Amino acid sequence: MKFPNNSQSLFMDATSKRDLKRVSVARTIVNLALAASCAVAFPALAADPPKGDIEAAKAKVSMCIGCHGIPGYRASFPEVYSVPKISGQNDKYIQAALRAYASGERTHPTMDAISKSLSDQDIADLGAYYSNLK
Amino acid sequence: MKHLTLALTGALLLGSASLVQAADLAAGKAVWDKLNCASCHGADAVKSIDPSYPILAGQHADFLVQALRAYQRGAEGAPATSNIRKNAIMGTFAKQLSRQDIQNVSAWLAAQPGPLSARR
Repeated sequence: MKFPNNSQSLFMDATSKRDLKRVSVARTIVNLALAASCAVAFPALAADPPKGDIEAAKAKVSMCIGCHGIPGYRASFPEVYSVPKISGQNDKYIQAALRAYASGERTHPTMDAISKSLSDQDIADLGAYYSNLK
Repeated sequence: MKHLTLALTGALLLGSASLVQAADLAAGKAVWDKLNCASCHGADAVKSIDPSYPILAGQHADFLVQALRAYQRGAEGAPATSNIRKNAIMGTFAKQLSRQDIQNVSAWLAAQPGPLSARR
């Protein structure tokens, strides 16, 4: 279908102007329908979280083991305390903690930076990996 | 002189050990019971009622102390730069704890048997 451009519309009579208006209403409806279908489709995607892959996680733990893989390792900034034991921790909790750092619900200089670098798939993989280390 | 240094070092080590033991395990269990922490984290602090809640048994005491303080700071509206945790549930509980309560309940939790480790 071909739509007349603006220069042509300067020479239109009243009838064709009405037609043009009808076409533009039809286009608006199509656009709204498209937007609505996207709004429905995306939450459905979000409700389906990625499945954790323990094998894939092995290539992703290098940023974790430098602190969490050393028994008794203590963070020295901004406070001095032992970094948490995370091996054997609940899968869903590990994921929730990483998301809390990424969203700013929890703050810690190192964990903020690391969590923001992780995709949803990375987070799922790390949760599966650490919860299975028993 | 060497003996004196050794004796002083020993005394210092003993001193710091007694500081760590300043936490009262029985009082810590009382805090755990009083705030009914088991209703979410499980009676053994291992089997939480929801997998999105952490296992606490056997976790480092000093980490638990800093986590509870971070919830306190978060609940008090401290700036994001001050190592905070914002959580409606944990913020409400943490606000009710004194510094000594936090030391005690963290020490009691760290002394409970659990699956946590630094394995990799």
